[in-house]
Amino acid sequence: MSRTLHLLLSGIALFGLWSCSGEESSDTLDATNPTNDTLSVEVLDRITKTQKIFYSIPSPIEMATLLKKTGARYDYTYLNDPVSSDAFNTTTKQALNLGIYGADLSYTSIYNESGESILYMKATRTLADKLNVSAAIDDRLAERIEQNIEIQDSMITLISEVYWNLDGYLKEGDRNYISALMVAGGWTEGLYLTTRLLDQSPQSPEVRTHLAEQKQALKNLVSLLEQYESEKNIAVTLSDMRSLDTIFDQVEVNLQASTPIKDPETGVTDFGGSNEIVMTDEVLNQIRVKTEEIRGRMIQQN
Amino acid sequence: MEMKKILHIGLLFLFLVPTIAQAQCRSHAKRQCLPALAPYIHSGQLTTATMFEGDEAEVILTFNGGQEYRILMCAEEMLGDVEFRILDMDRNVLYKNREDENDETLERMFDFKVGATQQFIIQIEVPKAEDKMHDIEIMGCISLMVGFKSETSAQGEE
Repeated sequence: MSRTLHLLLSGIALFGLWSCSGEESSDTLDATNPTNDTLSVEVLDRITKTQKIFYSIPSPIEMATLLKKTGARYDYTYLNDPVSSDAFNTTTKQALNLGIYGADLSYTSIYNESGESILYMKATRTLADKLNVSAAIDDRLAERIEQNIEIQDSMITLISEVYWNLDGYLKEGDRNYISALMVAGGWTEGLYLTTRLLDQSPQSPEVRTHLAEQKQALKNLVSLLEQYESEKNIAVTLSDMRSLDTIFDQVEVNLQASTPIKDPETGVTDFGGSNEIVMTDEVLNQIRVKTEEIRGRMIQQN
Repeated sequence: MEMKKILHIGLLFLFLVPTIAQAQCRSHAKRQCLPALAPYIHSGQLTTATMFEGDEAEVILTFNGGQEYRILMCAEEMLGDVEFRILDMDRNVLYKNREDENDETLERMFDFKVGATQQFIIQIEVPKAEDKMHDIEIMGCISLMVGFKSETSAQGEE
């Protein structure tokens, strides 16, 4: 009896873990228990699935912050037209463009363009509604956003909350692949905006470095999408990301590590380091062209 | 008869628990963990999982050059003193929240900055429960949250 109860509870717990962790993943996760050899299949299964919840792809708000740090100036013509939000009628396009509008909203907010932020927040809400995750941006949150639209630091926090809610609701609704598409859309828009910065400063070392350093994020994104390879809605995006990845394989990013130093006053440890980037103009142009092509396909109305 | 009843209740939970657990973990993370991340800005990615006593997990995260970060490991109390370590890609330990076995004060967050974009390995270890009166495994929510500092770093709403 006790054994039955134990097995039953273990089953419930494992099922819970499976659902809680979802299937979202990155290639960067690896089982590490030094006693793996002796672990039961059940425990190994748990470890693997727990690890799958973490993926390392920069969020739109962080991408926008990094773009601004390069010294780039704001240009709204780079962004996806917010008026188009109502025209996306397939789940795939809605999910991709939810990510794209999220990235554009982050971009306008980081540059404190409150008028345009309102338009992109509206577009984000439209697509959230279409995907049945309107609860992620409920009236209360929308009101807080309206009240704080001109206060940049509050807006950044609120956008982060919107993203968190969307991610959470999609995962809880067992629609992990939609969340993955949203991430893919957001990351692609960030990459596209980076390539557009080359119009402003073609030889900017900051922009080139930022672009090259997206190599690892792209690998993580491919792995995330591969978890849902059986979903037909993922196929085109996965194929696009794989072809972009093939181009990025020609980029070399070599880390020169340095000794960490802890600031006794702030408690912040500085790991320093620098990256040596090897990327020819030809490869850079290939990345640029391919990114524009993929992003163009994503924002194309059905 | 009693066995059947347990099985029925168990099966009912089998379908209800995952959704409840997911929502609970997200709610726990939002209430107990997110506030501790301030003034760093959360990435917005939901990184919450259920872990069992004795579990270990490892994740490789990428950090962008020129940014300052806070890593926050936030676990439900029932899981005990959860340890976490940060390693470089050559597996050198850069940080651990427990210096040695006698260290009773476990830090749950670590602030750092990186000069160049690089990856770190984050290890999480849930202790095995001791002196248990039953053979049911303890499980609970763990959130590994990463926040970054923007130039204007969020200070709150009006």
